[in-house]
Order: sequence, then C-alpha cells, then structure tokens
Amino acid sequence: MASGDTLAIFTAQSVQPPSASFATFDVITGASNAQIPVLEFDGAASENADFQGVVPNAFSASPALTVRIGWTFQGIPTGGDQVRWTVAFKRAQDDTDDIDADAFATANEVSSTAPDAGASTGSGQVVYDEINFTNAEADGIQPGETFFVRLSRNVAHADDDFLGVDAQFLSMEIRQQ
Amino acid sequence: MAFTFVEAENTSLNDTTLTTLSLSYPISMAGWIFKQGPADVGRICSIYVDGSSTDRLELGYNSAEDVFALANSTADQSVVTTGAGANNAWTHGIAIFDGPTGNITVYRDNGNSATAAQTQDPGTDLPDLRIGSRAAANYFDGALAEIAIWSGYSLTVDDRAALFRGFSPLFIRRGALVLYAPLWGHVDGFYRDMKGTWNIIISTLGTNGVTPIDHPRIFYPIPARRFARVAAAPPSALHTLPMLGAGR
Repeated sequence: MASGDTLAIFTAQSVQPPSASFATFDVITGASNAQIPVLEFDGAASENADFQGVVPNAFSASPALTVRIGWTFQGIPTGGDQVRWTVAFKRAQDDTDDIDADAFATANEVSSTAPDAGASTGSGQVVYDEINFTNAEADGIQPGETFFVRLSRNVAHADDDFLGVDAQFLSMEIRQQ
Repeated sequence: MAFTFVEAENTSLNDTTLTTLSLSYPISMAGWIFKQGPADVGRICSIYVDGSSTDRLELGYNSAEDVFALANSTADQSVVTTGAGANNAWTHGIAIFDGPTGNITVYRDNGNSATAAQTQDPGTDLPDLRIGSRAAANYFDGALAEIAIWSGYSLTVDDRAALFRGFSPLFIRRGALVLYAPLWGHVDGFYRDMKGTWNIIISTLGTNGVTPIDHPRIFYPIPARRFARVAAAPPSALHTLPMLGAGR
C-alpha cells in the first residue's frame, strides 16, 4: 500500500465493549437535530474500547502503521488540558495465537491536548492525534489476518490532567505509514 | 416502520414450542414501547411455561402509562415505575429480575424506577415467549421495537443509559443476550429473533386499522470498514453484517 492509505476505520458503532471498564455509549446532539454516537472515556477511571478487523492484503509491514484518533470532550478546557490515549494491538496468527488467552501487546501512547478555552467554544471541539507503530509494536499483524485493537484512556498518567472530563471518541483511522 | 400490535385483533408474536430452555437469574428485559390504544394493560414481553397461567416473568405497560415488571409463581407480583409516561410516544422500558434472593427493578426512560424484593419465583425454566401479549391475554395496542432479553446478566447503569439513548441491544453483553427482536415492520419476515433462541412466529397478524409507526431512532453496530487497494479503482469500503454471539 502507498504511504497514507487507509487500512481500517472504526467508529463508536464499531466497538466490541470489553466485559469491564468499558467506554460507555453516549449521543451528542448537534445542529440541525444531528445525533452523533460517541464512546465516553471517563475522566476519573481508565476505560477501554476494543475493535476487530482484518489486515488488508496490501498492507506493508515495514514501515508499519499510524493510528489517528478523533475525539471531542464534554467540559471546558482551562488551557493545555490533556488526555492520554493508549492503543494496543493483538494479532491472530494462523495456528499460533489463542485469542482466548493472548493479551494485547504493549501499548503506544500519545498525550492529546484539548483546544484552549480561548481558542474554542469548549465542548464539541474535535481533536485529532496520531500514534505511530512499527510492525513489532503492532504485535506483528500481517495481511489477511484478523487483528484486534484496544483504545484506552490512561487517566493515571501524569499527562492526563483533563480531570473529571469525559473524552468522547469519534473515530479511529489506521493508515499505512 | 415498527411492528404494530392491535389489541382488538389479538396480535402477538409467540415462539414455536421449545421443550428445553433454561435461563438463569438475573434476567433482564428491555424494549421500546409506543402505546396508542385504549386504557388497558398490555404485555410487551412475557416468558412463561406453556399451559400454565402462572410461572412467568413479564415486562408490561399499564393503563396509567407506567412500565411494570411482573413475576408470578402463584400470584402476580407487579413492580410499577413511578410517574407516568405518555401515549403515542416512544417510551423505553426495562425489567430486571434478580431471582428469589434479590429484587425486581423496573425503569421507564432510564429513570422513574421502582424496586421490590422478588417474592414470586417462577423458576428459570421458561421456554415459551410472547411479544405483545401474555399467553392468550393482555394484548398490547401500539408498536413495539428492539425487544431483548439477557439471561444471567443484570443490565448496569451504563447499559440502561445506552439503551435509552438509542443504542441497539446488540451492543450490550452479547454473550448473555438470549432474545433480540428488532421488529422492523408490520409484515412477515421482519420480526425474527435475531439471536435465534426462540423461533417466533406471528400468532395473529392484526391488519385492520393499523397505523404505520416509525421505528424509534436506533444506533446499530457498524463493522469496521476495511479498505483494499484495487488496481485502477478507488478504495472501496467492504461491509459485513454484525456478528451475533460475540462481545462482552
């Protein structure tokens, strides 16, 4: 695949909620009666959302991929407020992996800054941030295989100082690097 | 449009008999309700033992536009939401039966809840199902949609909020979901239990005077969009149907 090609897109309605500590469903009411489904990641406790896909045959493992996260939030930023996103992959390799037992690989993380109050109207402003992965960091996913990806908000991280404010997930795009 | 039920014509959906089906407590029921008919008591969903006038768990809607949960082993124990809903509007109802050592709790529109210790225990061998009536009585008048039952799972506060916000039951603890009947449309073929636990059929299809009612706004699962580059063609999004049986 060419650099920048889209490998997969996940939205709030693509989620497979884990059995505990899952990001919850909510709906943002927008202009013109729009109803926008989102996943809310709590501002006080770390929560997760799982997605499942198939790696496209044209995927090139080197360089690997970029995960682009689109999100918004409920509160009013006071300046420099950040959310700490973590993304982890799990490969499902033929005759090797056991999806009952296998854990996600070590996550890569990004601290994502909400627009300052002076630069936005607060709630509803959309933010995009990217995390790069080598193929090894992405658990070695390969073309034609099922893969799982977990998005989490790590509120215990020192950078996550948007305390008490729910981060609202809109989309995740996985791109060829 | 949603599936419409006509009380005067005894419309209901029921299963073809299952001789063995054992559920487990807690049992949760949920559904969207659009009551438009006379001021009587209609059943939204009832699971019961065939041939018995007792031994049943039910979600219903009463003449005061309250949602109620009902358990019966020897007599009706009904727990009714507080306040009143409205006719001719979509209302969401949830009933949770913990079993004989717990409570019955009922919710209307994610609130208006009421709880009581469950004193009536019909057991959990309840192989028969009706949607829109209780056995051959208490027929509902209006429309029902997105009816769901979970076995061995008590809907959490987040689950209840999600359902009320319009998220499909398919998002909620699929491993425990034993009935999912979206009830799209008032025609044969649009009322199936998509989970496959019950093989429901139309007992009586009311047709006279049916007023079409739009299905409530529901967010359904969308699978991941996968992109494959094809020579001389733009990327295409490949869609598949959501899978049942997996998930939390």
